[in-house]
Amino acid sequence: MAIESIETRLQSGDQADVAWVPADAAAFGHLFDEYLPRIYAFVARRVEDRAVAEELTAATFERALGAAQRGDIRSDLIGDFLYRVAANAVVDRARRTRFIPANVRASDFDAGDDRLDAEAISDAAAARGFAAAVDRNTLRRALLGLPEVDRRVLLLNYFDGLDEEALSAALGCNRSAVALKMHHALRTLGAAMRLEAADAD
Amino acid sequence: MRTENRYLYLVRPEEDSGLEVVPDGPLDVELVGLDSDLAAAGRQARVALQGRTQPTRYYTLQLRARLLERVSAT
Repeated sequence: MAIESIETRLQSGDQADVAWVPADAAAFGHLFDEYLPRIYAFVARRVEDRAVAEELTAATFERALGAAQRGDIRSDLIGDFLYRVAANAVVDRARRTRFIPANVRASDFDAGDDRLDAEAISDAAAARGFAAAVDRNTLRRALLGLPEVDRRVLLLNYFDGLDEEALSAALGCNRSAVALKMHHALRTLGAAMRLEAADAD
Repeated sequence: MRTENRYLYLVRPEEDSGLEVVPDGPLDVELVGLDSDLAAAGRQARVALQGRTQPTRYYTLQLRARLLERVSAT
């Protein structure tokens, strides 16, 4: 479920009869136990520093709890909400720190969209971790050379292993848009692999 | 993408489908092998990074207690 859809529902006021009121500590504890390892891993694949991963994960859960207590999110949407908040937290942190990883050029920051730049930084560690597990040289090189927007959706799907709903939430779009983004990214990757193979000949 | 719509993104979309229409048609066979390779690499990468990407027990218990205290206070 995309965050826009969630917000649309909230704005329409139909949350009143379905909102999750986390007065039940046991229910919240269950959700926490289910999602903490997933959300922490999602963050840790991108920030590489345990202290920062812990800080961002804690902030993510605190924000989710605050939203739940206000009745802003339903229990069945809290997982999607957590991924959305975590993804934004990682990007915001990259924007604040402006740490430039080795495989991102400083000239990339001379112009362009600030959010895309921050997403590129935040995905750099994840891209390295994923690429290290790719056996085929042409695929690995093609993956690392992909445009950020394509690489990001592939990382979320294959490296993070997000399901459809979480992927929609992390990307902030609906399932159809996710499918089309995935399709485009795979075709772009296929074309890049053909170029890599041709260069190697 | 692990639900019944697992292969939705492997279907070649219509040119004019826009972003609101779910693609519907045969699988784009060119992408199936690529999808399989990437899925295998993802599983391998997650396993390789498992230790570094899991919260410590201390952190888990501390955060859990802090949040539950907040829940109980409401």
